[in-house]
Amino acid sequence: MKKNNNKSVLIVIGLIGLWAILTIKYVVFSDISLSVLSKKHVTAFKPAGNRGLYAKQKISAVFTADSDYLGMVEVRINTFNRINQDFVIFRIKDTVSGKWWYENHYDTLQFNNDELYPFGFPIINNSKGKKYLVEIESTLGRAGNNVSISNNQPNLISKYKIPKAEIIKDTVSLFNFLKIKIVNSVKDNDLIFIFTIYSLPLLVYIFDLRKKGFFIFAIGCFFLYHLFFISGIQDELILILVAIASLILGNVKKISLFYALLVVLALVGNWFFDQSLTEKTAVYAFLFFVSGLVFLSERIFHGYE
Amino acid sequence: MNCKKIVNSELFYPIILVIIAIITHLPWFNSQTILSYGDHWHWTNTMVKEALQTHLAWTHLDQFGSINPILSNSVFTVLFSLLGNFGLSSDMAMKILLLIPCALLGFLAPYFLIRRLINNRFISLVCALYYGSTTYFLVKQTNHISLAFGYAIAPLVVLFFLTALERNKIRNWLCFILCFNISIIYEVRITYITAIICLLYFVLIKIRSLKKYLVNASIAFIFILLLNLYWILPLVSPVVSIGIKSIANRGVWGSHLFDMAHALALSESSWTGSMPNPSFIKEKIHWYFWLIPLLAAVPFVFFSKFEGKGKRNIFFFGVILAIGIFLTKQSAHPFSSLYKLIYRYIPGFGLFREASKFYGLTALGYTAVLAYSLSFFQGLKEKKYFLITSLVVILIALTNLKPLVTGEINGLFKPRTIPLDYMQLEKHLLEDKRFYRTLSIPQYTRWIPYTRTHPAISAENTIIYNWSDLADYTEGSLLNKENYLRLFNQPYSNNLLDIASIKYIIVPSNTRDDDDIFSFRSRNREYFINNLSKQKYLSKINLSNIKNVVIFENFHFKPLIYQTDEKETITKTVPFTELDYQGNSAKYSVNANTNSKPFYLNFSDAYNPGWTVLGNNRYLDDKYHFENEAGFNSFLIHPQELCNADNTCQLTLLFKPQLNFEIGSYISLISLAIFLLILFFYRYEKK
Repeated sequence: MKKNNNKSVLIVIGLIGLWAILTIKYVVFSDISLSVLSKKHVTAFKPAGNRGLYAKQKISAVFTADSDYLGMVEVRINTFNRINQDFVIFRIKDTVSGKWWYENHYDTLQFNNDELYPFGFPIINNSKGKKYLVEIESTLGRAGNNVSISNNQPNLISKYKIPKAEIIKDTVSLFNFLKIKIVNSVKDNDLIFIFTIYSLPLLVYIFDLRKKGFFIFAIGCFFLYHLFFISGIQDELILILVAIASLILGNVKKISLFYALLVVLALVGNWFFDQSLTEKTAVYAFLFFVSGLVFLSERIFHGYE
Repeated sequence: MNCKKIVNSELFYPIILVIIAIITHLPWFNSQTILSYGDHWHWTNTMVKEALQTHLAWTHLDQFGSINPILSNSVFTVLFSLLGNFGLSSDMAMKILLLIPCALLGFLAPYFLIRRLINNRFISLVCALYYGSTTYFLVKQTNHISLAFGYAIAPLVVLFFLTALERNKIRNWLCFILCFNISIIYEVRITYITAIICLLYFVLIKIRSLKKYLVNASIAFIFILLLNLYWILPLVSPVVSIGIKSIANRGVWGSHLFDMAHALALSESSWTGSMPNPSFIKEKIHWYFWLIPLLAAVPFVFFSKFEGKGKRNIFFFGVILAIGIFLTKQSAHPFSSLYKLIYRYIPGFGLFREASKFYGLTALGYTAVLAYSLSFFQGLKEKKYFLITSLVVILIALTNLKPLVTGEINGLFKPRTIPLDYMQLEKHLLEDKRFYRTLSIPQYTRWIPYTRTHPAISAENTIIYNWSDLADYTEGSLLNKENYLRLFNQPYSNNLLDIASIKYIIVPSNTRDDDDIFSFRSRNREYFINNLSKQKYLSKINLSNIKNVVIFENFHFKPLIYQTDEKETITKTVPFTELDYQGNSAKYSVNANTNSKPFYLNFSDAYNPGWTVLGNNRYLDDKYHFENEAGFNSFLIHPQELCNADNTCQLTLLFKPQLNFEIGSYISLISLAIFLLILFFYRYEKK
């Protein structure tokens, strides 16, 4: 009896640890590295048309720097899903000074469709609160051979590389940095959701929620919220949701039906050109398929079949 | 009545599949067509005839020569060359050996596998149609036919393996060995994947009966090893293994072309529904591809309705399907970094720098699982569900096959015409018996004549693989116009081309029949012609009847093997003496001139430490083997060591791993004879 109690305590401690580790990992790696802060600038670029940038044509955005040490902006490029043999000029300056802080040519072959491309430049130490103008100009663009800015948001993210010495200068600096980092992460709606999902293994274990109707309903809502409102794919989150859902469903038949449902959803996403929804649903479908196989393997290897 | 008899005949559905294969691959069954596209390079008739001399442990036809990384398909090369020497054109020989078997097996192999799994001929037909029309298979058939062949034969290998396990008779194991080896001969990478399938089946389903199979499986393993010793033994040589590792470990490539959605729907990234997009871009998935993963759910939903053997097979092919999908998504989520780890650390996975070859696993998994789906519907009282699902699969297959029939798919399904200029050039080259190379700038086209005495090289490959420093090229970057030109406009350029035995510099044509090699921005045909015209050591020449290909001649090129008194260099013209030699691409007998003074033996193939000189039954010490400034082999010969006392000097220039290749070939040939004998004796073994 005592042994069982000890085991339960250990499992609970392990699950709390898992919760904490996954959450910290998310906060740390949501930026390039721990010492980097990010700021998303939604609709910084005006909606681009469908024809892309022609030679000498420019597209620009203005944003306000959130911190000091601005060192990179990421821009979401639309390559129209084709190979474009153009060079674009990237420039950045603060709106007050007349001189460009940085300017360079970039080969459009490096851009992937609808993905953020990182334009790095010498770090601007005292950038906080200043307005910056980002400009992208085509040099060889012509119809069918040019790029544009994606209309999918955020299409501009500014990044600040805080020097390590600055962060650990004293306790106050470290505290301030962590505060900004956490506040930035909390401002990001995704964190609260992800934090909740990471707590699920613990809650399921403590309260044995598998058969509770409201919990099943909650899991369904989490699924839908993740599919439609959370950007990107977080492996740990999906694995937790699939594992818990599989436990709730409990057998191969139901899991396979759920898999089939997700394939239909992927088909719908595909139909409506929603690449993100299609991909995320496909990942879920695949993991449910694997989960079904795991259930089956138990029956096959234990001689039930 | 007769009609029913025909339909019920065992051959009826296979014949239908053969007819479908012929209709969808008409240009492949036409003896007059010339087919070449993508990675399926065109072989001239001369190349085919000479293949036995050029495709050895060292191959002479790849730039300045290189280790042959695909020695495993030497048997194919031998057969190909034999057909060529019997008078067949290269295109006809290729069709007989590769294209037609691929077209037929793509449909027949899955038919027989499914027939064995569920014993229903109509379902086997439907599933065979699906397997033979997956987007991966169709795309590979347009541009990389050996991969397509590996995919096509895979179900047959699995079928023979399942039969061998089930009956466990020597005869069945021998059939498996034969089929497995044929697969290796054509495409070792896909066979690696097929071997994983067989191994997994054994581990997941039959491991409990290990004792029962131990003897026969061991014999099979030993035979497979012996029959393949001709290419395995050269791998023992560090020179070859390092060379192959450098090819295999180039790093994962093309992750942007793969994601979970494409992997799950088995939609090859370049598939458009007509001509595949060659620009390395991920195309949108056609909506109806999702119906297959949907149908695949059926046997799992109704798992309890199946019998024991069926259940095990559903589980096994489900695992194959899951592995296939997981690997084919490459570096996409979930576990995005796992593919790189597998690529780096699991032996053999270095062969898969991009994941598309694993579509074969997915296709086989879907085909078998689909068979069980259809079998479930067939067992229902309401037959309409069976008819509807069968019709859905057939329609998807026919939709995919449509561009083959209409010719929209292009690639190897579109007959080509060899531009006359290249035929004239080949004729001219064949008349000249001296050794020299042709250098195409910026890149050669698929029609450039390749012969043993006149290998073709391209400026682009030469810069990337041999002369990056000389062309001021940084590895991994994109080549620009200036990189190309630096080979020709530097003070050392004339000597460099002379040492490389380059006589003709060729600027390919930009006609419709030729490859489109000038569409890339750094390749401006006029720029190359104008700048080459300015080089004083080159002279633009007009060969008879060549109109669109521009040719420059470099007059003072050196031979392949020659002797100098001083070390070869590109900074000055070193006087040389031409030597008599004969042999194949990995071994030459050379008669050198000696007056008892040390001399340099120069050999203008790419430097490789595997090359050595043998004279007077003694090998030259490796310290006398140098890489000269042009990147070729130079040997310092001391006549007192390697030559005879009477100053006659008969040397053998040898690529050492060739000896392993020869020893391995003898062992494999003897093993083949024994294998065939055993097969003959066991041909009537009772089932």
